[in-house]
Amino acid sequence: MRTTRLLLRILLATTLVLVASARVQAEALPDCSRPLSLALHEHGLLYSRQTGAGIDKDFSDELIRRSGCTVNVTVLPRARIWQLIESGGLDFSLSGITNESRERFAAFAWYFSNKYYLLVRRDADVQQVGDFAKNRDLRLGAIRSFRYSPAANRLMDKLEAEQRVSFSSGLAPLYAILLANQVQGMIIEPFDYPALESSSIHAQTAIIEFNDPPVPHGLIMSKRTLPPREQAKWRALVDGMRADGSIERIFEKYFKPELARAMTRF
Amino acid sequence: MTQPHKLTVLLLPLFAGLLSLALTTWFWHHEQETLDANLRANFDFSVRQTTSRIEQRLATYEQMLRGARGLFDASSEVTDDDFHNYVNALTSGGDFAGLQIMAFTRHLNGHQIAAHIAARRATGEDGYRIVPAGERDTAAPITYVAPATPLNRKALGQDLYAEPFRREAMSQARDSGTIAITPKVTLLMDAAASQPGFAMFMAIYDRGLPTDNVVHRQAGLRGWVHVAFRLQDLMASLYGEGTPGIVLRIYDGVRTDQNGLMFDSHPGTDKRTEGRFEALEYISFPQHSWTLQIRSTPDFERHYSHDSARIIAVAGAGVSLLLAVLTWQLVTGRARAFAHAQTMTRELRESEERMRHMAQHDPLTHLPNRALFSDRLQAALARARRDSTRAGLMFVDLDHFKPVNDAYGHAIGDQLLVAATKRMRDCLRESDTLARVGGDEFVVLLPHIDSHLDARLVAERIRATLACPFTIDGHVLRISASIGIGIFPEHGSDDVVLMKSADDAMYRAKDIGRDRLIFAD
Repeated sequence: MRTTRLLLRILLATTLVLVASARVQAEALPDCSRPLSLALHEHGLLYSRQTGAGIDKDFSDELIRRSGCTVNVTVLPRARIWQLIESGGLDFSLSGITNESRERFAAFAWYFSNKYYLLVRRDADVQQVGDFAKNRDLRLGAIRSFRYSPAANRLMDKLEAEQRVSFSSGLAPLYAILLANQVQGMIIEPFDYPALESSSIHAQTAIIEFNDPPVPHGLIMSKRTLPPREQAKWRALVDGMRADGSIERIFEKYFKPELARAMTRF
Repeated sequence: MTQPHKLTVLLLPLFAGLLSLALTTWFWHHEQETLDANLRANFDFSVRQTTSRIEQRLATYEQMLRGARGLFDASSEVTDDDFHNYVNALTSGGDFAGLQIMAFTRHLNGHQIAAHIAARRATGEDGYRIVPAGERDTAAPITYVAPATPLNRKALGQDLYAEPFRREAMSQARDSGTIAITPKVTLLMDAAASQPGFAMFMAIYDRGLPTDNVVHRQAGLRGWVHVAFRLQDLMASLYGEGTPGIVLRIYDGVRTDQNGLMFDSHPGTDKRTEGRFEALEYISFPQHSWTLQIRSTPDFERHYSHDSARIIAVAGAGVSLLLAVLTWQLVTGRARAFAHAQTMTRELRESEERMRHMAQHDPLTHLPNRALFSDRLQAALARARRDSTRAGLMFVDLDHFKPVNDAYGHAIGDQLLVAATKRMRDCLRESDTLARVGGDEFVVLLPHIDSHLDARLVAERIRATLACPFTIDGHVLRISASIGIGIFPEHGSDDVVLMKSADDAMYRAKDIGRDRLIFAD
């Protein structure tokens, strides 16, 4: 009889713990009461329409899986993504970096960081970043609305004020105009390395590093559609992916293990 | 009165003017920079807006293709009517005015071709055939077209694999699962090399098969839904308002050469003046790009700029000049007022002097007149009376002057009087006074004489010199003088008496034959 009571008590306690744990878990998961929207953008290893694959695609698949939400994924130009995040027409995007103006309308959950580099034509006679700005004949190619590390932003802003920047909605035309010598430089990230391995670009260009620390990149969340409590839940999901090594494993699919580690452990 | 230094007078207004001009230049420059920055910001905005309008329009068509894919995904067989009804529902508004054709193209392997043709003919398309004719391993004939206009129906059966650009885009669409666009092409229903256009493809896969990678997508290919546009029509259907004064050219690829030109909003503008701003913006599609060449025209600048810089320049220059003049006025004002007062005083004095001279002198000979002579006589007599000295008074009347005047006229007579005056003056000392008291009557005051003899000597010299002939205007004229002499105090103790004594003596000299001198009694 006593044994039966003890067993009943244990059973009850276990049930209570399980119920409490399930409630906590349910409270930790984001609100999925409406379909959410996430936009990818084409950018080197982050995402390619041609292959339908990339770091951002893998990341979004895993994030969506863990959230249990219905998320409509589309591919949009980066400038359009920022507009929609600001207006509330879009809930999420990926691999975003912050600045003062973006902080007003977007929240972030960091999951990797990387440095920025200046890719220049060898015949432009640019040895360091400052040489590019000094030579007024040189033009920069850039993706509309992209921001970079502080030194890269300074170069970009200076050249834009001097009308020395040609903008594109995607990366591919920039390589084409760099090879056609219509621009002499562009700012790149590690995701762009595969393109550099093409023999024509590799032969004609050199890479110069900006003297900035790595810049954190993260999940972009629209403050207009996601209240702080929901942002915290999504941030917790991302942190979980970092903590259990999921993100590093995704990056290892695309980069050497050392680089993947350097980018995801910051 | 302290006069400002000449250098100050010159430099101070110059400095004020230059300072004001420098400020004006700074303001003008600042305003110009602000205007330029505004103009550039407006231009940048126009570039972004133009690009965005095109991207959004293309995104709309992408959504339309996704909708059509949804139709095929939703049913195992979509009939011609289903497709027409669906497209007609989509394009019923004017929103898709730029769309020329929406079509479904089936992917066929060689063994499926005959069955496909037969099936199409069975649905009433009696003349349906695959163009170009011939044996093939695969085919991609346009199977449905909407709207089913006679022009669009001409495209039915066209094997799109036969056209390399379209085939390439179709392969891309198949492999990526998203849209792909062709380079610049002529639409199938248009005459060759007429209006530039392009086609946008989206692949459709067999229901129930996986499409998560390229291999699966290639294996499960069912066909494509695609739309085709003339660029001119597409651009005419953009949302929102265009920016005035903006020239837009769209090139296929990243080069801006004539071969790639797909759209020109202002044909022929190259011949006009170059605009101030130009931007190249690239729209990226999978494996393909468009270059948007956007230029401002003078209309753009007129629309967005205003004349404030020019107004500042003109007003500033005017104010600078005014300031310089004002400073000059302030610096030189006292000096100029003082100089002006001095000039006025001098002129007044000269005027007074002139009036006094006129009142006391004979206008012809400039000798003292009777009034002045009377003053001097009284003064001389007073002095002589005080000093107990003598003074002499002579009345000199020219003889035969009237006949000369009558014979040769007043002008000659006047010249004769002037000449006679000069001779008489030459006979006198500086302290003596010669005055004209009548037409041909003169008086001489000798204020300092010791005796009658002094007066006689002077009178004799005068008589002698006047007796010598005068040559006036080529005429030899002869006159003489009758001179009466009075000595103070013997012949008069005051001026009136002395004058009368001398006058009487002169008349006596005249009476007894002229050309002589007589002392008063």
